[in-house]
Amino acid sequence: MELLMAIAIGTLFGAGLYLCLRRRTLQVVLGFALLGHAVNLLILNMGGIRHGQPPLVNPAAAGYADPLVQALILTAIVIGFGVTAFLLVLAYRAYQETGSDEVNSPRDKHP
Amino acid sequence: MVGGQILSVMNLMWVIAVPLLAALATPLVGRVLGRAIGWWAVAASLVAAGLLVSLSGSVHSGNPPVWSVEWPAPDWGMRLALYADGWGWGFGLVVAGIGTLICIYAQHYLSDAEPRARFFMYLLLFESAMLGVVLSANLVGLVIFWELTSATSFLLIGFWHTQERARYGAYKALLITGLGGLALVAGVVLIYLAMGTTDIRELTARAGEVQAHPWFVPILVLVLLGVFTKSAQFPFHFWLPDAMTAPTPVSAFLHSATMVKAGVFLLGRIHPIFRGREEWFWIVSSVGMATMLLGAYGALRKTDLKALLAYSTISQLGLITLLYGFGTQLAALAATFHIFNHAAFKAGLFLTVGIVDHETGTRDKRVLKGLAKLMPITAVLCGVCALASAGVPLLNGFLSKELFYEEMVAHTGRGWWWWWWPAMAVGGSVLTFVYSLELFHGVFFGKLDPHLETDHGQSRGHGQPHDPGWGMLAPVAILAAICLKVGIWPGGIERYILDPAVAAVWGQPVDFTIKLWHGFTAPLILSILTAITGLVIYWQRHRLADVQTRLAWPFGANTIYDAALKGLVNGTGKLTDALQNGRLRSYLWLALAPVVVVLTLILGREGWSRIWPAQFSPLAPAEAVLLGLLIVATLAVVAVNQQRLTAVIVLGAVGALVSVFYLVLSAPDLALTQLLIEAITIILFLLVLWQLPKSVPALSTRGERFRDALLAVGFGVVMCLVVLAVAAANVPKPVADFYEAASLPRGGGRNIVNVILIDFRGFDTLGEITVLGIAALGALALMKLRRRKEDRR
Repeated sequence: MELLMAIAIGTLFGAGLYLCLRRRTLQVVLGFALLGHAVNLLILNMGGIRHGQPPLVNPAAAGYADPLVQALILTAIVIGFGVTAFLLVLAYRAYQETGSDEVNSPRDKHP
Repeated sequence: MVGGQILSVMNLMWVIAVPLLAALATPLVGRVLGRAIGWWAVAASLVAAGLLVSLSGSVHSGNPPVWSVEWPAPDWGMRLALYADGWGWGFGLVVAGIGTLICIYAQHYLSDAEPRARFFMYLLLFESAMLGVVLSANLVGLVIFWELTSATSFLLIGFWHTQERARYGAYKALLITGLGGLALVAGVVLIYLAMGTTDIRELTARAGEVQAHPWFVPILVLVLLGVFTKSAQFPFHFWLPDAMTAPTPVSAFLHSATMVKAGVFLLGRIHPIFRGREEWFWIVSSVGMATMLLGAYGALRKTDLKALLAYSTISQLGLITLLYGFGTQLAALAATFHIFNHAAFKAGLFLTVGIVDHETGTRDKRVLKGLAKLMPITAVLCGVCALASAGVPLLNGFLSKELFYEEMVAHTGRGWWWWWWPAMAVGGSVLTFVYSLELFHGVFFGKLDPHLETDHGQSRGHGQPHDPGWGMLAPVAILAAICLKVGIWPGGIERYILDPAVAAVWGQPVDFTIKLWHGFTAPLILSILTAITGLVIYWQRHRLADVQTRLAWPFGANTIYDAALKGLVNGTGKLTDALQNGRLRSYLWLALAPVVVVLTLILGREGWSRIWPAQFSPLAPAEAVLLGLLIVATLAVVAVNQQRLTAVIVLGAVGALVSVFYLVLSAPDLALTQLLIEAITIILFLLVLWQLPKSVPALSTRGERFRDALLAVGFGVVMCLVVLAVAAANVPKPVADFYEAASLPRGGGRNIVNVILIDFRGFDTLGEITVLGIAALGALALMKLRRRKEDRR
């Protein structure tokens, strides 16, 4: 389980970074979204793997998953969404203003 | 007796505190006193001097008062500690005494248009810092006060900050002395690491240990860098002439009598610790001699009288440094004596030049001639100070110069090449003799320029130049009187200041008497030789000027300084441009390539056993399918990233898979949130996608894609190993237990995650909401920006 999960998280990290290194804005936003998933799963992994033990106060239960990492991830998901939304609007407006959806600064093309 | 002791110990603290508090109060007091604020500074300096005098009893009894507090970090040998041994006390008297005279002078020197309160505030701040340097019992404290003198010197040099030259000079002085100060800090740190203390008295007692330590040479070099930069020693001498853009009272006080002497003061302080080592002798004495000759030679090339005095100060500081390097008892006496003598006559000369400048509006020695007719009193006072500087009998400069010669000649028994030292000493003194005559005879005798007799045109509305009021003459007169007093009857001052000072510099009491006449000896013959040669050269000075013009060296320390500064600014500019180039790609490479390397190194060091978990949880078939799908979908996003619509849909699939995965791993809240957010995100993506260009040919080349893929794969593999290492570590979770236990009784909820978010970590949630709000506002602003533009069209 841990091995396959590690591979999945590693794949998300690698794919996210590769897309962030592309030259078009939309690809970068896609990559950013993937990196977000990667980080969230990494944090979840730090809390340990539990099945069927939601973090509820229940004396009858055999145990509970780490609530702290879940609280962190919950915050991270929402903030990640905020940033993604902002990046999308930025990409859209940049395309409208410059007529191009390239990431690189104008300095690049006009040295 | 005990009460008196405590009182005098407190006085020690007040010596520094009084000028400091007076400085801080100056802006307020200035509103009341108006242009009389200078007298406030005079009073503060007088009080400081009086407090020092009140300590004289314990200083002379050889039982120096000590005051210390266990602050700021006694565990690391850093405590604020003051003590007044003969050396610090004597030097402190010079600082407070000359400070008093300078404040009286400046009160009359500054025009009404200058911001007086600010001037005297800086001056008092400096005085307090300088007194701190000389009274510190601890090297850390000394260094802090040392840097404060550099900072206040910067403020005072740049006092007329609207002038380009003043800013340049202030900046240069701060850079050079500041860099030297850093070297000194490093030296003090090394001393602490080597000896476990920074207490000067303890270090003096353990001088043998310091000298035998393997770090002795690095310590010596670092400390000397601080000394040489502060005291304008070759090759760091070039900041001092530019510091002359300061108002003349400042030049007299800081850049001649006290601050530049902090370097040679420290030489005297560490003299009993370092003296006797060959390295000490060769480095200190050679640098001192080079500086002495270079300064005296440079002084003769200057036409601006203040520049001339700046170079002459460099030269005299070189002489003192040279003497301390010899490390003998006689040399210590001569150097210490000369420090006091130089402070008196050089401050006097600066103040005289200030008077001349004030009255005539110029400091050019080619224009200034025959002023004795117009300003007889000034001429007499200048004569006394200039002849003292030249080393003429019956004046204090003669006595220390004789001791200097005596020390130089004393070593000639070691071999004929040791005659080199007295020969160079005479050479330097001859040049000193010549420029001193230029100051006195050149300026006050000869044919008066007719322009000067009326108004020079640049003068400050005084009409014909004349002797200034008593406020400017009295300080010079007092200094000149001291030159005469010491020159004729040295006994009293010798017992009062010099004896205890020399005893402290040498490390134990020294038996000596300074005599005006001690027979027809080698020093006297050299003095006569100096005077005759000096007179001949002065008579033929136009020829000397010709020779100097021919020998002029176009490439000096200033050229290097300017080039280095320009290179530094350009270089950092280019480096910044290269790093901050505005390309996301290179930022990511710069940030993440090192991360991959460092993580690889750390994981490699930890070893496989720390990465590979000892046991794995069982893998259900459904989970295997889920994770397999997640991996495939993630790779698919990359594979189809050119077909945008497909890529966005696959991204949605990834999000959905992650949500399901959360559900499997006992995180129902996360699954819910993720699913909701994912839906909104995809809608946003599609909205934007609709606006962006549809066909997207690849922009990057094959090579670029290959390189990026390499980094991405490396990053992915490293992160994969990190996840495994986390699983292998299996850290206990006491925090989780706390929340589980506290959730119901203190948060009133059974859903622990929710209780954390809205209760225990409520402020985090507030922050999260704020971030969302800012993102929304940012997005809104971006859209509105366009609307307005369209409206205008």
